[in-house]
Amino acid sequence: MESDAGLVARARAGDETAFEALVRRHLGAAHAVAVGVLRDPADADDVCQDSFIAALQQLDSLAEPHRFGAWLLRIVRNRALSALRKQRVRAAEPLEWVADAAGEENPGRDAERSALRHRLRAALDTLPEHQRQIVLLHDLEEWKHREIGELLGMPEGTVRHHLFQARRALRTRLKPEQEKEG
Amino acid sequence: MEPERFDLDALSMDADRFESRVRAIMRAAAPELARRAQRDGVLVLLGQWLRPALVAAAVIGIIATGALLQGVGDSTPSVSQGVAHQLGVAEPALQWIDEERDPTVSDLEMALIGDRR
Repeated sequence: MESDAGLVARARAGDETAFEALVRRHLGAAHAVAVGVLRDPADADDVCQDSFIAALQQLDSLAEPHRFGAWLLRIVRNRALSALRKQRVRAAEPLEWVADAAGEENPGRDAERSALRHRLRAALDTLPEHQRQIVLLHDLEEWKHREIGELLGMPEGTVRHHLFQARRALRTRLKPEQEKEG
Repeated sequence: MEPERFDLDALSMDADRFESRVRAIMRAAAPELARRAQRDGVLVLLGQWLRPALVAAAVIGIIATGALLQGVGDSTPSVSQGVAHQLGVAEPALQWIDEERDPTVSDLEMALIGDRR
């Protein structure tokens, strides 16, 4: 697998396949960060797209190409926070998770997955933003504590602590529903 | 010690949605990628032309410098000769002055009385 640094070098020269490889490699984590902040998958999609384009436009200023992932996610996070501030100005009521855009999900085909997704989102919604991002990046995107710490600007031990708290909160929140189903 | 990893796979994008997002990003990135490809194409072209041009310029520079130095030795009067002429030093003296050697007795004789003989 080609390194991020190699792909960045080729993308700087306008190589489409190299940039697409970077998108495929980092889209999941970017989406997790954006959705962790915004809670709306459609808004997260928009922020991810804008962030990838911004990253491409600023690619020449990336001093450490091997750290493209962390750099990109900082752009995603900043843009998501900016979008969130704008949303809060537009609507005073608290945000709620919204359904995925029509046509992107088929509840008939995958009703169980859809219900589980809804429960998970409701549970994640109760977490503070940084805990939501930590648990999404670690448990969904398999990022390491160190990498998350660098992204969020906190020590590795603090990341571990927040992950512990987030998992415990999620388990507490989801347990009664699991028992009800059982 | 840590509570077990949470299975959040239900939140990940399904394959269709992932592909559609990748396509959307690549469509939006196309103009910038094209601009970069064009820019780098021009730079590469310029580089291909510039390298041999610079080598040729360097060779011409070296040859020209050599020729100039040689020309200086051949045709330009030495400083000592010019000064000697200005001071009215006799012609025979110019030879040993220009050769930067000590004059012999006959050199001195030639310089002082040679013309009068």
